[in-house]
Amino acid sequence: MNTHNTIIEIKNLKISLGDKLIHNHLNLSIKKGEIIGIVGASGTGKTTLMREILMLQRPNSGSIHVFGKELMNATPEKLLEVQKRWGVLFQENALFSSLTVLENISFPLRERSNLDEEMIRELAIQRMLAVGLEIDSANKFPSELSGGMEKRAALARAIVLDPEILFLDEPTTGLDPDSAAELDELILSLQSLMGLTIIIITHDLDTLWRVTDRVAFLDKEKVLCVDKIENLIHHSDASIQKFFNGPRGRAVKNKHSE
Amino acid sequence: MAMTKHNFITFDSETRELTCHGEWNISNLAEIKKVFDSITWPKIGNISIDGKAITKMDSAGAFFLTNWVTKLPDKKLKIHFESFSEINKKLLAFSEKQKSHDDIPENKELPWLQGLGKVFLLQLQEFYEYINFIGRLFFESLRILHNPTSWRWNTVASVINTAGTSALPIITLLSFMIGVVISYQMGNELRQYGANVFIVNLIGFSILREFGPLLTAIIIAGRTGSAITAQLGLMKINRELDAINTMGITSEELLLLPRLIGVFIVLPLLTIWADVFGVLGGMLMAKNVLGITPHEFIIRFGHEIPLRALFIGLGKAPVFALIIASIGCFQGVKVHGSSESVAMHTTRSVVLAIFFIIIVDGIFSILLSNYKL
Repeated sequence: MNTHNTIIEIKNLKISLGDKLIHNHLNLSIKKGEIIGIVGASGTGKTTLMREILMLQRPNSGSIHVFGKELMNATPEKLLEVQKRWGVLFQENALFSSLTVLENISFPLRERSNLDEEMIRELAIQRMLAVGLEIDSANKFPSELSGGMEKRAALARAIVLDPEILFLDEPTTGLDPDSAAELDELILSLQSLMGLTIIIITHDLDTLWRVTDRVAFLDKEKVLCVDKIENLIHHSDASIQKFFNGPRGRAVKNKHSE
Repeated sequence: MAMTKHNFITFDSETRELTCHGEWNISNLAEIKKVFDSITWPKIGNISIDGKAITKMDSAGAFFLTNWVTKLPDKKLKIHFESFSEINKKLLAFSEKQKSHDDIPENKELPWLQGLGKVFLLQLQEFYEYINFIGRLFFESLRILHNPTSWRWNTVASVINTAGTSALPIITLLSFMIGVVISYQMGNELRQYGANVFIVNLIGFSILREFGPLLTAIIIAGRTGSAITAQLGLMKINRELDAINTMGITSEELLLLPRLIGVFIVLPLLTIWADVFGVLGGMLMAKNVLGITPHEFIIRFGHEIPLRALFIGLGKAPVFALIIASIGCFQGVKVHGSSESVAMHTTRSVVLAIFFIIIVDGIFSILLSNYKL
């Protein structure tokens, strides 16, 4: 295994929530600089997998290496080193509701960098504009924003510290097709600019075709297959066929293979 | 001293070459800024910035560089970027593109008198909304009165359980303690005058008329009023109230009135409970401090305390109940947006309920003494 290129390495992961076994002997390795999609039917533990990598949920056994560091037994100081180098966009955005958009975006800078106020402000404004928000959104509270704008603000907060890994949980869910397409392009341009490794959990077939380099399909408590989406759709497994070759899957495939 | 070498940059003031080196990423940005601020830059002419020695650059580093260029005080200084790697060039172009030309619109702060006026008007408006709310509740209850199928007895029962049954222990303890305290404090005074037996009158009137209803109402305002506001507020944020309304059920019918009725039923009952334990506490201390036996206490209690005292106290309880539940519901449906709004309205709910309970209690005292009751 080429450790130089692997940024996240998951081995033999096992977790059960309550009585239900979610992952069993799950293996996945993610390469530096790639955009990987994580898909699977509802309840196959996509979000759980992300939460395990982020150390929000403790697996029963197995190992997770991020940047070559084992996280399961890491001390808080070691963990912080890693935490500074990733950014997360949660499904529900998780913007701080009592802070304005600009304060939300500045928050990681204020906590985790030694920049002065002026610099923090300028950098936060730049990020805000970079994700396509208007300047007059700065003093608005998250509750005053539309769904798409909230997503963008949360994305700006996730990338403000120039992370090396970006986790996106259902980034396009609930957005209109136009905003979703814009977000896809935004993700691509951020990746090419900042050299990010991006992990996307999504049901959005358009996003999978447009954005990802590889797709990991979760089923039967493990990663069934990791491959380019063009190859994955020809996989013989029944659940993969069902996922990609239903009526909607075929429509998207035809659109993207034209 | 033509050439000055710092961390991250070297500036040659002869050839006007600025060479960047090292890691231009966010963790070094504060230091990079310090170095830039420490150099006296020429006012006019050209400066070329060489980027080939940069080992690593992130978008924050690129942003700093382009931002520094824009913020140079004089436009007479020309800056050229030279030999940056492809990716870094892209980063610089990206930062250049995302520059804001307008500043953030400021929130204007009002002068203090205007601010005071605004607060006053807002309070007045809230009062007006509250009156409206009460009106709507009233008409809604008239409508439901004709329509017994939409009486939500289950919800009422659950409110009675959570607001009433579960509050019994705390009310028992606190009212008992109040009885003990009054008896103890007054007992010492009364003994000096040899007026020991009057402790019975004191305990009877003060607990039955004032402390029983007031204490119970304040506990329920803190316990149940706040719970009603927080719950309705979260339901409002979650759009559950909207969902109910779209199904042709009003939130008044399903959520508000059952809570109002539940508290209305439960508060007088809790008041009786508080009266009993308050008097018991007083009786216990009367024995310890003044040597009045429970037997004597009860006999005298029967002779001296008119039933009127109990009924006056119990008569206040439903009024307090309406204050607590209506303010709790009103503040709950006024929540909008954020978790902070829930916190604000829950606080307001408890504070306003206790405020009005005490005001109304005062009004009761004045009215009743006018009629010599």
